[in-house]
Amino acid sequence: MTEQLLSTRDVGSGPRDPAILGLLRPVPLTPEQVERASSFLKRVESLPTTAYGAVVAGAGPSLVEEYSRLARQSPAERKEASIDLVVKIGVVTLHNLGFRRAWNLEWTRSEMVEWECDDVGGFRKSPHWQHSYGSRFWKPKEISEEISYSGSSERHVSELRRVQKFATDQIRVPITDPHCMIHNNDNLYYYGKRLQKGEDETTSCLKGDHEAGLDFARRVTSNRVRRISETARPGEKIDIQFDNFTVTSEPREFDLPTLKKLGLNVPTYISEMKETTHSPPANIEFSQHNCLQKYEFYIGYIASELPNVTRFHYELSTHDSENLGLTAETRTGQGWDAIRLLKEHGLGRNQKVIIDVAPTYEGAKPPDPKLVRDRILYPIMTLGFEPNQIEVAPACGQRNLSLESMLAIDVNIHKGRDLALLQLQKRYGIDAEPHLTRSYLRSVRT
Amino acid sequence: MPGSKDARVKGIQLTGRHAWSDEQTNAARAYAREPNSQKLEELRTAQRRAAEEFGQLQARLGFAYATDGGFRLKDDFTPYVEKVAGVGGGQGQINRQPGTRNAYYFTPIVSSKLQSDAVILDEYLYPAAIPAPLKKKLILASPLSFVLAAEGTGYSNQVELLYDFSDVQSRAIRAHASEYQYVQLNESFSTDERFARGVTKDLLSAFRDCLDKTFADLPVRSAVYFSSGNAKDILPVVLGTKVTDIGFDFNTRHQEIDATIDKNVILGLQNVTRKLPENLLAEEPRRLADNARSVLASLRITDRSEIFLGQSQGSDGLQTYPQAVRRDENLSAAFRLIRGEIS
Repeated sequence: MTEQLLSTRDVGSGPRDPAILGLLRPVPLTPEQVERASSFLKRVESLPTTAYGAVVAGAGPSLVEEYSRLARQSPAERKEASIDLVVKIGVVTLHNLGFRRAWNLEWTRSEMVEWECDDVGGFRKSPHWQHSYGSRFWKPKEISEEISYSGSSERHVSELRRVQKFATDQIRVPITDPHCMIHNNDNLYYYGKRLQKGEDETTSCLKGDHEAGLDFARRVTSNRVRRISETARPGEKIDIQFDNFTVTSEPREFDLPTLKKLGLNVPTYISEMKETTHSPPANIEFSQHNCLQKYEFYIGYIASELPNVTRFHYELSTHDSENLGLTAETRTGQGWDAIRLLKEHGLGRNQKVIIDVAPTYEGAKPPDPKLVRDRILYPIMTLGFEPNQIEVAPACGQRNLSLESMLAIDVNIHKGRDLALLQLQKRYGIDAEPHLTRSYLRSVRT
Repeated sequence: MPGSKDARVKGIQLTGRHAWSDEQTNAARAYAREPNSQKLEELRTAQRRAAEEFGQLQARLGFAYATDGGFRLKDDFTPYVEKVAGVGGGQGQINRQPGTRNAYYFTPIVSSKLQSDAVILDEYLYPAAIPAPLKKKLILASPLSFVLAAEGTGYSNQVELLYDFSDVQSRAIRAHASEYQYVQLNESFSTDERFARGVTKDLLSAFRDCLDKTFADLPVRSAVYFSSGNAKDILPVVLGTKVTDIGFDFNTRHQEIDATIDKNVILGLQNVTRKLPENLLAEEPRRLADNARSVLASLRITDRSEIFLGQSQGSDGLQTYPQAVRRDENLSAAFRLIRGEIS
């Protein structure tokens, strides 16, 4: 399949509005929720994309009709059909917005760490809360014995099968990577094992996490990749996206003298990613999404150590200025610093950068399409990346948004993407495919 | 046998917020799900009770200075984000707290010149929870941390923002000075690689001015606590101020301290970012005491300095409540071992 120039994708979870997710809960929907969901679904079905046309147009009942029918049923009656409809709404929403990867807005998941432990042995849930921020708390799990994989629930596989029913785009399956799984649970077993050998605390932490991460990669993640590959339909290629929000939370893991002392050639994170991606099945490709991090800690390993990971998403927009422009003075913040460093190190032959062009924090406003345009063009026209090395996405926190805000932000992302395409057409003389209506493009040309 | 440095170890103290009990957490979650006046009152009641229980715990364990646990603070910047005109962002973007895994703060967004009256802290402090005769300690974010964490277009000059913020904070501290015997400012950003690049000589010079201005003529003991990262670059600045005490995180990061310290010292020894195996208490009291002696031996501290033991990372809040209480107890036992009160 030929990749669309400046292809767009979503990388995270969608708004957790009870108007949609209420379909999955054992309580009736309120009239206000039904009205809000209906309004949202009407907008989804009338989005101004022309690249494919709305996926549901002329294909059976509309989303609004399906939603209204299920909303009238009791939670027990609608249970199974509701899961399908929620998945379909997610898939159609992303498609109609113009995104070229299909998924379900992660509406079938509660979060990204505990959810992934379901078929993993060795984890025991803490009975006590821990504060994360604001009014958010979590119960960290404890790794209390050696990590194993039962494969009993196969949540990723059942999710994939549902998305396959509705997707017309390439499917992207998000998986929390081994490093994130170890660092966001209390690694008592492996840490304790090291301490018992008489190693100091620092060495015990680092070696314990390394050992646990590799066990998770070999025994759990590799099996997930295999099962997803086996579930792909003939001719289908699945994009497995590895997620991590704490890659560089332990800087010592990336410190060269420390690595040498531990006898490691590369940081633990890179070892785990290599272990997971070294020989992908033919119908699998890998991408990576890491929330805003000190990307510079590992950017130098990407081309040489992770040749089979083809796309890397960088969070940039939250810390970027809102000034228009294609200079280092206008494209600011640690995310852009990392992209500039990445240009120095270089990408591998088939590797691409996914640029985050729009913040998604609670209360974020839709970005000016011209600002989106400049965030896309800066790496191409100023830093010298090839146009086909750049793809486009929002930041990962769309779950923080209202349904309407998500639509507004994502529509503006695609308007900005089309403005960037217009510039590239002029500069490179290429015939690029717009997402949006020709009337929108005519209006911005004038 | 206690050496001379052992004898100067005067006590233990908390250096950051304490972990929340499950009762308090459940009340906070209930209010977040259903924000109404009844749920808010239930949350406030749970927070008052938690602060009082924590006050009693500190009394039982012999803390030299006691805090109210900081239970009303969502993160280090809460009072400023919620109460200071010109600062916003309390519901907006979040950023990871330096040196932590799953702890975040709401990024302060400075949109215009800071303005506030002196009562910005009233809602967040509960000194009455600390039982007599314990000495009371107030812990706040340092002005430099605020400036490095803040974003927004309200100021084109960070030095100017630092002075204005410090002025706001100084007035707020003075409004409560009669209630506390000790004020600690936590500096966790300038020592972290992610933020250290933004620290200029002008900013450091202004920070020195601000510390001296804040604590000038204030009848309290004062401290700057470096709660993550490596303090080697900023240490000389704080050593040159009138601040009486200085604290370091000696666990989560390697410290490169090459200076003679003529202030009282808090040693952050407990690694609160790491939960411990139940059957293998690496930080059992004897080991903590050994660590304290080893760190002390590596530092050049003047003879008149007093030494205190505390948590690394400046916050017990990075743990579950039972783990935090257990560590508080271990810290107390380590202190008594060093002082020869138990063997």
